[in-house]
Amino acid sequence: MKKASIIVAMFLLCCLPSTAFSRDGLRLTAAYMCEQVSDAGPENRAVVFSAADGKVFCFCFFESVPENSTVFHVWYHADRLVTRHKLTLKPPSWKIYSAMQLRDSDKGPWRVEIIGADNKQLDVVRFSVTD
Amino acid sequence: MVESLAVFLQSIRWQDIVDILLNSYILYRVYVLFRGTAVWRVLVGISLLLLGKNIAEFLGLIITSWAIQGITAAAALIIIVVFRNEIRSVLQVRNLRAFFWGSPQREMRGTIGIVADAAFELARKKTGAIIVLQSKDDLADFIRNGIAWQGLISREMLMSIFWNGNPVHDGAAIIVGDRVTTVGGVLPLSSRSDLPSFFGTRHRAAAGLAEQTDALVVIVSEERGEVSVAKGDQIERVSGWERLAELLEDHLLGLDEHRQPRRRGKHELRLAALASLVTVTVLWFSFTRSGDTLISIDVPLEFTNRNKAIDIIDASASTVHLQLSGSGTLLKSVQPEQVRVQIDLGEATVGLNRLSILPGQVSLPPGVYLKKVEPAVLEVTLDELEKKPVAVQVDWAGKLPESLIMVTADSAPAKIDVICGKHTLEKISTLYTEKVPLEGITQSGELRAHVVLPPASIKFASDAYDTVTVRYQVRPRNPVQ
Repeated sequence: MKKASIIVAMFLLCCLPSTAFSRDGLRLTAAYMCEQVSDAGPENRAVVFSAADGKVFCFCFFESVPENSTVFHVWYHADRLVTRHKLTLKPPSWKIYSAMQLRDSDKGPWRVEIIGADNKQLDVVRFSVTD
Repeated sequence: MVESLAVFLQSIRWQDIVDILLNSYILYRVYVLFRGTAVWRVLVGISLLLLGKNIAEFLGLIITSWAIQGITAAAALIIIVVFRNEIRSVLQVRNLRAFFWGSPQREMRGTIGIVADAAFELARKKTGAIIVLQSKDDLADFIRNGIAWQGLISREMLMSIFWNGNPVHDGAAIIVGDRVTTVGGVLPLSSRSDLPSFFGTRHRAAAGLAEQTDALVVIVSEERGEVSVAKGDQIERVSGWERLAELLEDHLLGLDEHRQPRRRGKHELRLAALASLVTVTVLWFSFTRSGDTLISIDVPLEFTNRNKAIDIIDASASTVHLQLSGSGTLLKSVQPEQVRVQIDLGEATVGLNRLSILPGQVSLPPGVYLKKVEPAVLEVTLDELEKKPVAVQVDWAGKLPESLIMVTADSAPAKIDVICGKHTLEKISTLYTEKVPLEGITQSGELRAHVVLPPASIKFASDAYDTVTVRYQVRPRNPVQ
C-alpha cells in the first residue's frame, strides 16, 4: 500500500505540467503571459497580443522558496535577445512578473526564458505580437 | 627564328597532334564515303557558304552574313531530309571495317554492290542470269524482244527477275545507271569458234553482245553456279565478290570520268587525304593560335569527398573568379558547364580550414588556360552533424477579433528532430511555423502549418516533420469594467 502511494505520488509529480523544480526545492508552479497584472493577480492570460495593447507581462508563481533568491526573465524576439530582467524571490512563496513595452516593430514570435540562479532553465513561455 | 620555332614546337602537346590527325581522318572518310554523291557536293557548298559568312562578317556586311547564316542552318536540315537515302546507304555499309577503314577502291556502293551481291546470290542458288551494264554504246540495235522495266535497281529485284518462275528469266536484264531499263532481252549470239565447249547459249549471247558493243555482261551459269564477266573479246570467270566489284567499278568509273579509273582514283584519294590534313591543320591553328585573349568568369565552387558525418557550416566564398586565356574563338565557345572548380574536402577537419585553390582543381576545356584565381585561398568551416529536438512555435500574424483572447496555442508535435552541424545547432532553440493568419478565427480549433527551416544547412530528420498541427483555444474577452 505504501509502495503504491509512493508510485502514485511520483506519477502525479511528473504530470504537473507547468511546474519546475530547482535543486534547492524552489518550485515554479505557474508561468504565462498576460495583458495586465494587478493586485488581484494576472489578468487575461493569452498567447497572442496586439502591438496596439502597448504592454505585455510575463507572470510567474513560485512555491517552496527556501530563501531569498533571484531568477531571470530573458526576453527574445525571434531568437534575438531583447532584455534580461533580474527578479527577487522571497520565501515561502512568491509572485513575480516582468513587462515589455510593445511597439509596432515588435510584431512577431517572442519567448521568455525563465532562468534560475544556477543558470538552469526553469521554463519557456512563448507568445506572438500581432497587429 | 630557330628559337621561336623551338618554343612553338614545345607548345604543341601530343593531344594536339592526335586532335589534328583524328579530325583529318574523319574529314577524309566523309569524302571517301560521300564522294561522287550529291551529298558531297552539298557539303562542299555549305563549307563555301560558311567561308562566305566569315568573309562577310570580316567585311562588316551585316545582312549578307545574316542571310548566309540562315541559309547554312537551313541547308544542314535540308541535307538530312533530302539526302536521307544516300546517307542511309552510306551508313548501312557491309561492315564497320568498311565504314571506318575499308579500302576505298573496294568499297562498292549502289549499282556495283547490288549487281555483285545479286550475281553471287544467284550463283549460290544455281539460278542462271545475264546482266548487261550499258556503256556509251546504245544497245537498242542489238537487243530484241526486250520488255521495258525502268525499275530502280535492287538485289531483290534482280533475284526476282531471274527467278525460274518469272516469264522473263531467260532473257537479259539491261542496267543503265541505277535502273533496270529492260528485261527479257534477247542478245546476239557470238559466232566465235574458240569459245570453250561447255559455254552454253547464255555465255554465247553475252560474248556476242560484248564483242559488238562496249557493254559489260555478267553471266551466272545455271549448271556450274559460276559467275563470269564478258567485256570486249574477253570472258573472265570471276573468283569472288571483290573481283566482280572491281571489274564493275572499272567499267562504271570509266564511263563517268573518261580516264584510267584505278590509277586516277588512287591519286585522287591521296590528294583528298592531303587536303583533309591541310584543312584541319589550318582550322586547328585558326582555332587555337589566333591571338591570346583573356576573359574573366565566375564559377560556382564544388566541394567533393566530404565526410557524410560532417557538414559545411560556412565558406568564405561560394564562387570563384577565374581569369582564362586562349584564342578568342575558343574562349567565345566556352560553356559554363565546361569550367569546374572542385575543392577536395577529403583531408579537411572539423572547424576552420584554409584551402588553397590550385590549378589542378580547375577543369577547363582543351586550349583554354588558367591565368588567375580569386580568391586563391578559401576558408571553409566544417562541423559534425548532430540530431536535436527543437521546439516549434506558431508564428501568428494578422489581427485576432478584439472580442477574443487566444489562451493557448500548442503545436503537435511540440518538438521536431533536426540535423545540422553541432555549432549551428547549439544556437537554435526554436523553429517557427510559416505565418499563420489570425483573421477568420472565431472559436477554438486546429490547423496545419508548415515549419520553416532558417539556415539552409539545417535539415529535418524526417520529411514527415515539415508540417505540424496547431491546436488553439480562444475565449471571449471579459467586458471592460
